[in-house]
Amino acid sequence: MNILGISCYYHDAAAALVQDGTLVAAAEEERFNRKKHDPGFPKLAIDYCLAEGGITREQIDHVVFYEKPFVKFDRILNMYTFTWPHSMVSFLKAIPLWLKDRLWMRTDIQKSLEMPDKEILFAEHHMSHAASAFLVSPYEKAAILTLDGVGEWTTTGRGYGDGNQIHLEEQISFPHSIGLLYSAITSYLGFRVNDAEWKVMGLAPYGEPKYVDQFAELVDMKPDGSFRLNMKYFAHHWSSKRMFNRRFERLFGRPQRLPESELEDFHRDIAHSGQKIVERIIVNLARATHEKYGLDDLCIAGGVGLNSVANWRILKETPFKRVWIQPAAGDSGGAVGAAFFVWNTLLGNPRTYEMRHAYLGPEYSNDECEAVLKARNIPYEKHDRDALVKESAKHVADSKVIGWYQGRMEFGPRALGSRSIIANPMNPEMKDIINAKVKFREKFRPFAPAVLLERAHEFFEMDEGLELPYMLMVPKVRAEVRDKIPAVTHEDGTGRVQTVTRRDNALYYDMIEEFGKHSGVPVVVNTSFNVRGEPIVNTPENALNCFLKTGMDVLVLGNCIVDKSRIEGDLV
Amino acid sequence: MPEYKSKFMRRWMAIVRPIGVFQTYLIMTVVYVLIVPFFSLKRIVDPLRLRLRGDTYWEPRKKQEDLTLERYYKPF
Repeated sequence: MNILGISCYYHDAAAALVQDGTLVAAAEEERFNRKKHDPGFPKLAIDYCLAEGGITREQIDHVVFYEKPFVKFDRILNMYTFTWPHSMVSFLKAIPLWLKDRLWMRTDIQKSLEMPDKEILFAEHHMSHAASAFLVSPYEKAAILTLDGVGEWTTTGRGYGDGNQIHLEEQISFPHSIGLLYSAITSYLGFRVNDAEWKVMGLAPYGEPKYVDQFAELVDMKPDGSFRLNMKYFAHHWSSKRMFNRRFERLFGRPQRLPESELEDFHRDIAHSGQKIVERIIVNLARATHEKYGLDDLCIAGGVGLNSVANWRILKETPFKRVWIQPAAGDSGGAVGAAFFVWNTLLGNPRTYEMRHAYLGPEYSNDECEAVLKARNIPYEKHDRDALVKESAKHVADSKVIGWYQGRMEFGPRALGSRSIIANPMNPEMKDIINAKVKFREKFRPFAPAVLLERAHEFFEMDEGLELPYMLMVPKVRAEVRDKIPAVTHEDGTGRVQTVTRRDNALYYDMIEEFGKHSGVPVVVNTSFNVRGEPIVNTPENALNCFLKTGMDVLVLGNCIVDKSRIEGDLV
Repeated sequence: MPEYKSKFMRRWMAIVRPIGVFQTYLIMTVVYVLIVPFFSLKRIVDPLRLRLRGDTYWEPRKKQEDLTLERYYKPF
């Protein structure tokens, strides 16, 4: 049976294909059409999923959309009605769009799929998130938290999963939302909402908790984990543009930072204090959830689940023994959850699939990679597997910045060794080099370490054998090795770890191991293969273009290695 | 579509599209200014939970008994 999950029309549109209970393909539309966070119908991602599954449209048994549009419309109508007259501008913008398109979503999806008679299923937004976390997790029974901006009405949900059933029992409703609070902080700091929340998390370690009291004024928390926002300070319940109002700015004593203007200590302190308050809410929520359900395992999804600092604190500071977070925790993962919700929960099939990696996107053969280089007259060297591993590790050791393009593309916002830029973590200059010459982004942005699973505990304060394959946790770097891996040690002495196993990505594992043999450090810098403002590369052409227009030194494209110093000037 | 018809359609759309957009905003403004306020008078029900108080902010979710495909074909 083939089930196609779709998430779109808000941000990060995606498609996923589940065949007989196995996730065979999942991808975000932005990777194909090159529009970052594209919200439109994921036609190209669907085409890819069907091709990967070896089926045609006619062979799809069920199509499921990740939320219920009429329930969302109900929330939007209430929002405009009960915040009258503040909401006028937003009303005039949104309502025609809903009346013209969104309310006819079923027809729109049928038309876009070119299947006018196909019935479309609609799962709830937070049920899709919950399913994307629990139904593909390793746990038979676990507590579930969905932490998001907003779905239909729900912003936060909790419950538990048991077998193939999900019991989401309680919710916190719009406008009270951790995700929207974080977006307000992002916007106040002059960064783009639904895009640059990472920057707040990256900036936070550089600041001091000077504004925690002011942030505490914005939120009321209860011992049972629930919370509400003090809506006197916010505007997201009546405006589609503004997240906060003047009172919010007066509380912190300064107006919103202009985008691209200089970042001052004040902004670093706001990021730090805001991050702290969000961690406090999340840890309180997780602790209370453990108290309520008494289960050892926790599953998390929803965009806030990408807050890796808070995730680590859940694991360390609450009684939960294990935490599993969907790597595409944001809305794109909703496509996966919706499809599994239909397969397991609605159709009653037992759970047989465990999501052990995120390599669910397109793959291009070595021949296809070579053809791209040939077509552009790019000089390259072709290697067998062993030589490729050795050469790549040697380039890392020589402090070259490498575009690493191998295997199936990752699903979710993180590059995990398929579409990655890798480098030497021992070089103290490396962070500045990559930020300035390759990624063209702010100096403070940190980089993550990819480390062999067996050796991770030697470098990071984590238990031996603890798998963190998705860069969703931030343990401390051990004090005695911090000077060995300065490029991946954050300002506060932590690192957003990716543990690598041969089982999940053999070539990547072998390359890191080879680098470790010579350096004694089986760790590499791993950051996404893209430049600021662009989606992560998908095709070999994308990779070559990105390589040529940035300061990367070497491109490992399939089994070919391109050394930029050997390329004639006019090709670069 | 023949060339002359397609040309005509393009010109026709260039004229009527701005009129359509203008009308949409005009109608929506009238709806917002004259009709929406009547509904907002019911603020006592507080659907946005702006006056939320009490020992907890959790709301129980309606238990979904009807876990069937038919139920989920509905977009509400």
